[in-house]
Amino acid sequence: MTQASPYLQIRHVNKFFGKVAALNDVSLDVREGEFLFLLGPSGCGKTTLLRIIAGLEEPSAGQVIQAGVDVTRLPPSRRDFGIVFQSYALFPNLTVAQNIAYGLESRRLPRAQVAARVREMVRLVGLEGYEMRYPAQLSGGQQQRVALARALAISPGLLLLDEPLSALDARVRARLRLEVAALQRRLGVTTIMVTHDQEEALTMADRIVVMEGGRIVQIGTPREVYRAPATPFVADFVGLMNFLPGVVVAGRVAQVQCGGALLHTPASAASLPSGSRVTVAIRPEDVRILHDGLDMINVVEARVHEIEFLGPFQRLHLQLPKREDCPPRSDRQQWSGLQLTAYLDAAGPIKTVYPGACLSVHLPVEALRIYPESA
Amino acid sequence: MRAIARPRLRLQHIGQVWTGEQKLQYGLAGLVFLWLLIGVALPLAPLVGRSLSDAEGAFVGPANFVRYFQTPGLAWSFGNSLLVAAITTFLAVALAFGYAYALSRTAMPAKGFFRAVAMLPLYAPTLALGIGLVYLFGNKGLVTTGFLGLGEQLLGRAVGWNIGLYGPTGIILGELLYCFPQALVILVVAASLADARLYEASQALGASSLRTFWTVTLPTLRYGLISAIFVCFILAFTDFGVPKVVGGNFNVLATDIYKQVIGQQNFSMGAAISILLLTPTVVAFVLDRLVQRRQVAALTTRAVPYRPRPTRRADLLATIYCSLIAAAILIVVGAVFFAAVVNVWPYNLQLTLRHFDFRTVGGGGAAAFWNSIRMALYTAVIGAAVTFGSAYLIEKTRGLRLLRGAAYFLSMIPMALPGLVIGLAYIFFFNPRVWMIGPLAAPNPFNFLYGTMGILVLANIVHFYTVSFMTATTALKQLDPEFEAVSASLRAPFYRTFWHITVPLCLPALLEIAMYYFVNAMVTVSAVIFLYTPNLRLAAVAIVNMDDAGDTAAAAAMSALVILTSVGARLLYEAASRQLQRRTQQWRVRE
Repeated sequence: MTQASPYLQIRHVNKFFGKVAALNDVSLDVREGEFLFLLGPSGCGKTTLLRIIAGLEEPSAGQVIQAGVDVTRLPPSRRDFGIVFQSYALFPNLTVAQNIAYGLESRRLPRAQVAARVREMVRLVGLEGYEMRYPAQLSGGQQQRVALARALAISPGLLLLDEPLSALDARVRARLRLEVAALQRRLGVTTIMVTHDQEEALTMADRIVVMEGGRIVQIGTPREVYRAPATPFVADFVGLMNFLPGVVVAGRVAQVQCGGALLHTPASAASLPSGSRVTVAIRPEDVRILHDGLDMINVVEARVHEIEFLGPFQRLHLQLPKREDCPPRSDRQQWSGLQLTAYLDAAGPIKTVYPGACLSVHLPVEALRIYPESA
Repeated sequence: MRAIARPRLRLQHIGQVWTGEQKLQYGLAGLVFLWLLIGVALPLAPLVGRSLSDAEGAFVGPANFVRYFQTPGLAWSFGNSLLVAAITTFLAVALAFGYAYALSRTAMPAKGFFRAVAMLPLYAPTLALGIGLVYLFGNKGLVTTGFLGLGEQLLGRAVGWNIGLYGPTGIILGELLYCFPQALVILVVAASLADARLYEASQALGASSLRTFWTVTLPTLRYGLISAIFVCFILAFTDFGVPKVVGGNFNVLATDIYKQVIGQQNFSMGAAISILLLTPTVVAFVLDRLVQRRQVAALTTRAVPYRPRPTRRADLLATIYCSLIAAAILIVVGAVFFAAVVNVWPYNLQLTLRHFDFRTVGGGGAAAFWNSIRMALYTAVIGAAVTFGSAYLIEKTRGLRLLRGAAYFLSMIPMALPGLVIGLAYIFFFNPRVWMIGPLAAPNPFNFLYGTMGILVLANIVHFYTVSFMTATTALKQLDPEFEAVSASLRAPFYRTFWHITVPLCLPALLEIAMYYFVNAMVTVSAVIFLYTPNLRLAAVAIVNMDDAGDTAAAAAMSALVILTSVGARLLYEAASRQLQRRTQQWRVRE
């Protein structure tokens, strides 16, 4: 990534609806050409932020700077963006070609130029032969592409996508994810997409902005957001995560007392005062099921509670049992009452894995994340 | 969770930069507010003022009201109006409920026919309904005289039946005919909101049909029923035409106003009675608003429309029930046409068209008829354009929340204004060359409208504004709310999207509004009876004058012409809109 000045700057934007704060001091830089995602649950303020960027809402305070120009006070028609809504908002009484040409005609371009650009856009989104159809005669995926072509036809500096894939069924959505991402990379247009679908964000984004309660809680690449979630909220919202409550134990190595067991943790826990409450988090795919019974640190006994067959792999719901449920083997640690989710390759040896079976489970130190519990 | 600390904000005032396009849109929205102010709100001020003044314009407080209630002949009218309206409302809503139920919940045959016949009274002036009743039940009426003595000749004994038409009986019968279709329209819409899934669930749970009726049918119709009750009450309470023709010595408020203003030129008393006429209407209107506000969407997007299945007995009962009501309507309207072409009722029953030669009778004759058509056309075209434009600007303008809220409120008021009140208020507002506001005198800039076609058209547009406005608003709300946002991002000015997208998409609603204005302007008498001039007579008013002068046959002939015109316009509209649908609405067709 280049260190040039950002294409779009959001500075200390606040938005109140009455007394309710929809956005709370939001600041954000968007780089030229990047595909940025605003991710969060409904009501987190992501759509409000997108509408402020478009000029469809006015911020209560703060600034929006696009391409070096303060556009905060400009109406949408004076800004430089194309937008695709969840409903697509295609004009139902205009054909595909007329929809795509709509913005070009507003610019009073010569007729031939408009027609050429429409042809180009139709080809770009792969809708050749559908030019004379009306939106009602297209499938959801095709309508989505028309909306995209219409927004891109005017060559906007900024493309805004408001949950554009949410109205589609799962299969079409998965295919369009790839298509939209490829198109964005090919055109290099700076793009901001709003979604509540973490999978969409992880697969398509250059960077993800995770929002909660009108605030930005983390900005990072999909890998950073997934591997190093900044808060338990992010960890829980993006992907699946096991959470285990614990207490920091003072000592030379960082250790956390978790339900009667002592876990070695990354060094970050050492900086916390002894006795402070923490949440230990680990992704299900980082939980290792041991078959060879090697002696290692952070190996615990677990009992299989339920198995979900998911095709390529199985999801195990494990209970970290009380001492009496599983006979102790060597010095392995005993827990009580906690639960853990893990994955098991469906093609692997599964004879020893059945509901009620006792397993040895390894929680690698480097895979653990420690979140101090806030007061 | 950490408590969300509110950061220290520099809450700078962010005023948007107004582009030329926005200035235009805001200017137009301002105009909408202005015309509603002039057309609806301001004329009410002098009306209230006059009701508190004597004939010379001196302030007398509530003296007019006191005198009204102390004058024996007058004081009764208020109670009479309430009584007549209450009975009419009860009967009309009950009958319409059964009719709507038959239309929407049974598989009876010829639903299109029954629906059309039930709507027929909407295309007739209420005066015509009164005249139809006179020819059936009046002193020389068909029923009263035992089919003009024919029954006696055949059966050998008198079979005449005098129902005592003139008075409350006649008024209630007439208003019933008038209110029935209005209630029916509301109830049919409410009934069409039925969700078949609820009926299936009820059936699957083993509920009896009676229990299903109480737990599923009635709740979905509840708001429609309440609305129908209020609408019927307002219409029956304020109607002028029926009591004018068949009221006899039974006084009601509407005829009182007419007598005070036209008969005695007592404008102050007319204004006072107008206020009395207005009060229950406003109360009913406000109550209805309060109730409707609690309504949540009865029909979710996933609802499955209810399709009635044939059941022999219920369908037969429904057919008989609807046939009886349809026959009653057809007979009354038919009587008008019959009376119009009979030579000398009841003595010479030869058919003739001589009553259509209006030169020998007063009222303005053929010219009045053409004036009415012109007025209805202007009202339809200008009304549809103004109504739709206003609804668009109120619904789709960003910002200006206060102004748009005020304009919306003003748009609701005409619903509560009886035509007579609008007419009288317009006299007070537009007639004087100089407005006296307390000790101040100001020249009236709108005086030029007085006595012209313009004021008639304005009065009609205002009189029928609320329903049209709601039709337009509903159509606009069905459009994707993001059309405007997308257009702005494509830098298409709002008027381009309005013209190329909004208007074509709402064309059916727009035509419906024009039609509604045309028919109502054609048949109305209450709003225009105070505003027409001798040079500008109108058909509906001519019916009043002819009936007053005893030229009942001519009045029937004029009524027949008006009915034919409005029904004809409707048929023409149906044909045209079907054509148009095929030509311009092809985008609705899925492949």
